[in-house]
Amino acid sequence: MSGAGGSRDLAAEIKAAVGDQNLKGALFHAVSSVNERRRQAIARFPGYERARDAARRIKEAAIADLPALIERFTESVQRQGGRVYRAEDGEEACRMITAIAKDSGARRITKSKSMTSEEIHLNGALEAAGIHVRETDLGEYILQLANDRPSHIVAPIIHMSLDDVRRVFRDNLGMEDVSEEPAELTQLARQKLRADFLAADLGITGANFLLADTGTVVIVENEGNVRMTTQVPPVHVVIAGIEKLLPRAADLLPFLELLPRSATGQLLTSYLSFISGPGWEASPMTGGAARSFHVVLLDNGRMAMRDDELLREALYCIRCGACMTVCPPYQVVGGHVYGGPTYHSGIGAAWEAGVRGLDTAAGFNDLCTTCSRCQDVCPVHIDIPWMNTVIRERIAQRRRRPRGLIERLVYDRVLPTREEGSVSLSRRLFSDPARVYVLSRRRPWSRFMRLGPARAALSRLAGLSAARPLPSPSSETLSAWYRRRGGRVVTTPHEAQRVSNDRRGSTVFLFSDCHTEHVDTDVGKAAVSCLEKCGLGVVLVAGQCCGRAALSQGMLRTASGQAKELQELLAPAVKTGHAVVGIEPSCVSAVVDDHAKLLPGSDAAEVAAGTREVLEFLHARLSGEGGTTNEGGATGEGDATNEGENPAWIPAADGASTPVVLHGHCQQKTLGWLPAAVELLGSIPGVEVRVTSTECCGMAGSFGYKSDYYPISAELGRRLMLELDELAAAAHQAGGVARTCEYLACGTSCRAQIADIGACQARHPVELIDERLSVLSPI
Amino acid sequence: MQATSPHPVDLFATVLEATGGKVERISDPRQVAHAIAKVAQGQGVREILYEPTEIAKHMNLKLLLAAHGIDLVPVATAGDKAAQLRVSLTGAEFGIAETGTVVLGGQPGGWGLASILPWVHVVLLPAAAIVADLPTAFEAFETRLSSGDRDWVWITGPSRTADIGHTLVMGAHGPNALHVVVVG
Repeated sequence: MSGAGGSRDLAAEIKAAVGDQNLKGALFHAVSSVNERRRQAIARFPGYERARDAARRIKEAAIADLPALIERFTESVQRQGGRVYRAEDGEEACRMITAIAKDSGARRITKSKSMTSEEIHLNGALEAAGIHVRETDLGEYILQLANDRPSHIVAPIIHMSLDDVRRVFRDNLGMEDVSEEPAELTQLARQKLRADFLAADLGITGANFLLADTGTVVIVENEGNVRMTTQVPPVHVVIAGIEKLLPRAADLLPFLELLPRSATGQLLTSYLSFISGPGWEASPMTGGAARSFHVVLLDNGRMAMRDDELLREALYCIRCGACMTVCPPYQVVGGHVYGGPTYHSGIGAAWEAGVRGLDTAAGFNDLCTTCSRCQDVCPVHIDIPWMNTVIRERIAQRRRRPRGLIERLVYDRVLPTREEGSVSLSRRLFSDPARVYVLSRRRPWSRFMRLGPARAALSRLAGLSAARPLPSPSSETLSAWYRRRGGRVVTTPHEAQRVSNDRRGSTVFLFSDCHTEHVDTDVGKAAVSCLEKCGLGVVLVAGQCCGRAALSQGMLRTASGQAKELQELLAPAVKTGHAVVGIEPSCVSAVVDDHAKLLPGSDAAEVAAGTREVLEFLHARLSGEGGTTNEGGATGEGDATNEGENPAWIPAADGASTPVVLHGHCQQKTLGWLPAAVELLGSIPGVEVRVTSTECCGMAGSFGYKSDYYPISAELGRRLMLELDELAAAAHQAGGVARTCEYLACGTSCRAQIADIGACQARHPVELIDERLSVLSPI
Repeated sequence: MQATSPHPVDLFATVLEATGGKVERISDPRQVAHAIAKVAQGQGVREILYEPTEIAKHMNLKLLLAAHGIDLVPVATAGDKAAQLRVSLTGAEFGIAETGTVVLGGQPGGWGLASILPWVHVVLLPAAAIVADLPTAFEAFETRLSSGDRDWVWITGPSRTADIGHTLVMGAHGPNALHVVVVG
C-alpha cells in the first residue's frame, strides 16, 4: 500500500494490481453492477438534465458566496444550541475534536464514514489521546480491522472480495469458522457493532450537505449507522469541509434527486438525516448526560481551491463516486493504485492537489487517459478530464528543468516542441503523431525504427511498450490521394479563406486529422466517397494537428498553438456557412470541446457549433434533416449535383442480414454522437447493430502505448474483446445459421486495440456505409 | 413518467415494496391493531417500543393492542429495555409516493431511537399525508424545517448494505423490516 506522492513506483503497483485475481474479480463485478444500476435509474428519471443544471448553478453560487454562508450557518447552529468551530487545517480540526471529546469526558467514540475525517487522519489523533474510536460503516469497520484504507468514497471496500472479508474476520475476530454467506457476516458485524453503539459516549459523523439558513446537517446513508451514531450517544460531532454548504433547504432538492441515483442507482437511500442542533434530552440511552452538538468546519486548502479558477470546480463535487466506477483504469487497478492517500481516480487528483499539493497528485494523475467517461456521468457537470489535463501541465511546469545537450542536439531536430524547458522523448513522441507518422514513413527511419535493437532503445528511452506494434502509415497520405484525384486540398489560412469564399452550394470541409491523413487513409477515402454520394462537394483540410495529442500529455502551450492554427483553417469555412466534418472522434472533440477552453475569447465556439462528426453528419443528411448549412442561400454555381436528392441503400446480397457489433469511441459517447451512428447503421437494409457497453477499449490514444500502463490497457482490451465476442456469438445464434459478424469502431486507437489484443480487424462504420450507399442515380 | 399516474397511495405501496418495505392499507382501528399485533406475534414478542403519536391515540391503539396481549412501551420511559425490544411503532409526518419514503420528525424525540434500534419498525401513516412526488413533499418539508422543526429522518425501506461480497443484505444496523400501515 502506498500513499505518498512523488516516491511511488506506479508501474510496479499497476503490475501487482493487474495480476491480483481477487481484486480483478471483486472490483469488476462491483463497478459493472453499480454502473448498470445508475444507468437504469437515470434512464427512468426524466428530470435528470434539469436537476444536473440546477445543482451545478446552486453549487457555483454557494461556493462564490462561501464566506457569508459560513457566517450564516454558524449563527443558525448557535441559535439552536449547537457550536461551530473553524479549522484552518487537518491538525487544527483533530485538536478541536480531541478537545471536545476530552471536555465531555468521552472515552468511546462511534463514527460513521467520512472521507473528510480520512483526509485529516482523525482516528489516529483521537487514539493517540487515549480515546477508542470505532468505525461503524460496515466497510469502514472491516478496513479498520484489517488496517487498510478505503479505495472508493462511497463503497470503501469495493476492492475486497467475499473471501477477503472472511479472511479479515478470521484473522481479527478470533474466529475459526467464518460463514460464506454475506447475510450471516453482516449479522455478525451488526452484533459486534451494536455493543459499540450502546457503549459510546460520543458520535462523529461527516456531512453531505450543510444548510446555512437553518443550521442543518444533512447526511445520506443506507446502513443506519449514522442514525445509531447520532441518536444514541449524548454528544454529536460533525466534521465537514466548508464546500458542503448550501444556502437553504430549497437548494437541496436537485441534490437529493441526483446523489442517490448517481452513487448507487437508488431513488433515495434508506436514511436521510436532517440534524440541526443537540438531540433528544429525554433519551433513555444517555443516562442523564448533557446533550451537545458540535460542527467542525474544515478549510484545509479549500479556500485556496476556491481562489483557483481550475480547482474551484472540484468544490462542486457531491462525492457520488460515479467518476470512479466508470473510469476505465480505475476499473482495473482500483483506488489504492489510481488514487492518493484519500481521494481516488477521476476527481481524486484535483482533491489531492487541493488538500495536499501537486506532488501528491503527481503520484497518480498520469493514469487519467482523458477518455471523458467521467464527464458524462458527473451529476454536477465537472469537466474532470480538463482538470486532469491542466493539473498534468502544472506538474510538468513545477518539475521543469532546462533542456539538456542531447535534447538540444537531437530531440529538438527530430521532434521539436513548443514547450519550454526539458521535454522528455516520451512526451515529444506522444504529443506529435503527425511527425511520428511522417518519420516512420520516410526511409531510412522507417526501417531503422522497426529493427529490433532500435525498437528496444525506443522502448527504453520513450517508455514505449515493446508489446505494441507501431502503427503503419500508408504509402500515400489522404491529401496526396485527394489531390491526385483532382480534389481540392486546403492547407493554409489564405487558401481556406479563398476556397470558402468561392464555394457555393453544398460543400463540406472535411478535416483530415493526423491519423486519417497518414494511417487510416481508407477511412478518409470512404468518408469522401459517402459525402460525394450525398451530393456534396468535398474540400479536404489537411496538414494541421488539432492539438489533442499534446493536450493528453498536458502540453497546453503546444496544444493551444496547434488549436489556433487549425482554427484559422476551419473558421473561414464556418463563417461562410459551410459545414466542417471530422472523422476521428477525439480530434473532432478537440475542435468542438477543447479549443474553446484553450483559446478563450476566440471564434472557437462558433467553429465548434459548425463542426460535425462524420456519422452524425451523414445521419442528419440521409434522414433528411439537412446537414450542411449553406443550402438555400447559395446563388453561385453549385459544386455538387442533384442537391436535395438522397442516395439509396444497396440491398444486401441475397437479402441476407449483416450483423455488426459497434464499439463507441469514448468522446463519441460523451458528446452524444453515438445514437446517430447506431441509427444510421441500423437504417442500412439487413444490418443488425449491437453496441458494446464497455466504457473504453483501453488504448485511449497514447496511453496504451506506454510500457508502464500497458498492463491496464491490455486488460481493458481483453474485457472489450470478451464483450465483442459475446455479442458476435449472440448475433450468430439469433441468425440460426453461421453468419460473419463484423466489428466496427470509430476510433483509430479502438481499432488498433482490437487488432493488437483481439487479433481481429475492425473497420470504421463509414467504410461499411460507403459499400452499401449507392451512387446518385441521374434524374 | 407513467402514461396514467396511479393513485399516490398505490404508487407509494408499489415503490416502497420495491425497496424491500411492506405496506398495508387499513381504515378500521381494530384491523390496524390486528395488523400490528400480527407483526409482534411474528417476532414472538409482547412488548412494542412506542413513540406516542396522534393517530395512535386517536384510534385508542393502546387499548386495542392490550386486547391482543400486547403492551406499548413509550421510549421515554423504556430505560434499558429500549435497546432490547425487537419491534417498534411510530407515526410519520409525510409519505412520498414517488420514492416510497416515510418522513419522521419535527422536534428531537423518541422517534429517533424507535426508528433505528429495533429489528422491525412499524409506521402508522395517514393516507392523507401521502404526497405524490419529491418536489411536493420537499416544499412542505422545507416550510416545517424553516419554521423551527429541526430534526428529521427520511426513511426509504429497511436498513441495508452491500459491502460484504457486493451482495445486498437487509438489516445492517437498523431495522431489517419496515412495515407501513397506511391508515384511511
